[in-house]
Amino acid sequence: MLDVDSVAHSGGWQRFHAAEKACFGLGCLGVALLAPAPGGGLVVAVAVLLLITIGPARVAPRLLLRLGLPALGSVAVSAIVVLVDWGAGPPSAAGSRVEAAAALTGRSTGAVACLLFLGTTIPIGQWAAGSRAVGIPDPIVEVGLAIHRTIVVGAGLVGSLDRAARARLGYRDARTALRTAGLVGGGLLGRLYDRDVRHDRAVAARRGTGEPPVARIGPPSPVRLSAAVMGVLVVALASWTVVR
Amino acid sequence: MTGLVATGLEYRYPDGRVAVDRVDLEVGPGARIGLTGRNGSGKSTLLLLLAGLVRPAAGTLSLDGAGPAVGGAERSGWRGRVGLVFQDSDDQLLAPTVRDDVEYGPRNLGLPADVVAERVDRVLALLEIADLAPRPIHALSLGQRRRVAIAGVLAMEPKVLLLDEPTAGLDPLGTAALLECLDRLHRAGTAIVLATLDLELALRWSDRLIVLDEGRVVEAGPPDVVLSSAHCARLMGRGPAILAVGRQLRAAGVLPSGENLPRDLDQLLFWLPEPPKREPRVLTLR
Ligand SMILES: Nc1ncnc2c1ncn2[C@@H]1O[C@H](COP(=O)(O)OP(=O)(O)OP(=O)(O)O)[C@@H](O)[C@H]1O
Ligand SMILES: [Mg+2]
Repeated sequence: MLDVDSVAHSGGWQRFHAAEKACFGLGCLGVALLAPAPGGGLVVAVAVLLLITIGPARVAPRLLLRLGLPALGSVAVSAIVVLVDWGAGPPSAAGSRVEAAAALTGRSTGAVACLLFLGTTIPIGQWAAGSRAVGIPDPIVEVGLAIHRTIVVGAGLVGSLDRAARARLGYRDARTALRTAGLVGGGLLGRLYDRDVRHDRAVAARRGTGEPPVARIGPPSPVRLSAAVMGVLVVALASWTVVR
Repeated sequence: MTGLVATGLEYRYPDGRVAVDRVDLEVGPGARIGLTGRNGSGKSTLLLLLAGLVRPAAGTLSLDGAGPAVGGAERSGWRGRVGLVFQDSDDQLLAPTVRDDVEYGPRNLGLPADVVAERVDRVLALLEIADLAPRPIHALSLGQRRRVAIAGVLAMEPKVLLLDEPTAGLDPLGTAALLECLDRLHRAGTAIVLATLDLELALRWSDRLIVLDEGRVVEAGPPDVVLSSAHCARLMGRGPAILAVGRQLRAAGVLPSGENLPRDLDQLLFWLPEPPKREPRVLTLR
């Protein structure tokens, strides 16, 4: 299981309806993108991250950092690209570019935080059920699920192959590391296929459809939905006032 | 301090579950340590920690006084000296064919080709899988894959050998061959830690048995004593029949009270009275 999934599955947000969480997460995402940058996005980021770490899920900050790091890394790279004038002369950073880079960083950081919220609070099964409920066509949902499963299985396989290689000194020097990378990469596709076949067999044996099970929860509660909307409004208000 | 020493080892999974909780462990040269405990008690995680494959949240590890180098257990040679046979062989086997896989470790040790070939042949013979050498791994049966996984680690000739349920899925003769092989390593001074749910095996094989529960060491000592304890019975059930019979023999005065309880069938048979030739006497066990 991917770390983000395991957090979503074990966290205290399980008992909330996907609609309530999506309402808050997507609402905040909108605020992060629309509020005056860069302050607005940063306010959203702080608010949402606080909610993930001290809210019902209590995701450890270090884990959160690990989950968000790849996205934040690409934000940083983009910011540098915007910041630096890559024109004919020597690379330089002009004043207007600083502003643009700051805006980009603020907005994207806020957006990443919202995506982390959605990822760490809504398990994949709820995503699938929710997507169907709002009318996304079945084939699209199924392709999404298949991709997700492949990533999960693939990540697990890479993890265990990598651990097995480390156990037998597979990365001792450049030469062995290269060979190991080849073995892991080469082994991956065959094994993915193999696991998929076995998984399908097991699913069929239990008369399943391949859909991950969804924890049974009632319909979204109007009270909690309103609370989610209120939450978004509070974050929006904070974002717009902080910038002034 | 010689051997593998762990103090206060702790590990938690990313979801916050504490899998290993303040474990102290000493594995001296030539030790034979059994590790048991219910499913999910932390055996596999503890072995991963000892192998230097996951980083403890707290606690220290050392082998002959030196710890795994921070940030690079590999560089310090820790993994060359501590070998782990994974619980799931599928997690361990990397290469396309049996011979490639068994060669993998020794080649990574940087050994010359002839030494590698000699080691590979030796361990393949030891585990009675020489005939499998050219076969593709994915076409092997469960027990065959298990033997290949064991061979791959033995070929590295570790000083400390960690085995996670190595006999699960092996046929009886396969198990016997493996134990014989472990005996040989033991006599050559290799320290061995073996995690198993097979209590008869734990009783017969280990010099010291450790019981884990919820990541903590709850019992440790000579296997017959540990397996006779009420705590262990609560966690693991009644334990090997041989022990129960041995206790009965002791109670009946057949087994002198200074004698250790029999730990395998041969020892038990030694104490059983020879049945009279004509009229068989039934030994009543309550
Ligand atoms: N990848 C993981 N993520 C989260 N928790 C895990 C993970 N792997 C194991 N655990 C948990 O850690 C605890 C110890 O697991 P471990 O695999 O070490 O147990 P074990 O004693 O080897 O069990 P078994 O007898 O079933 O092999 C269990 O509670 C398990 O649920
Ligand atoms: Mg295990």
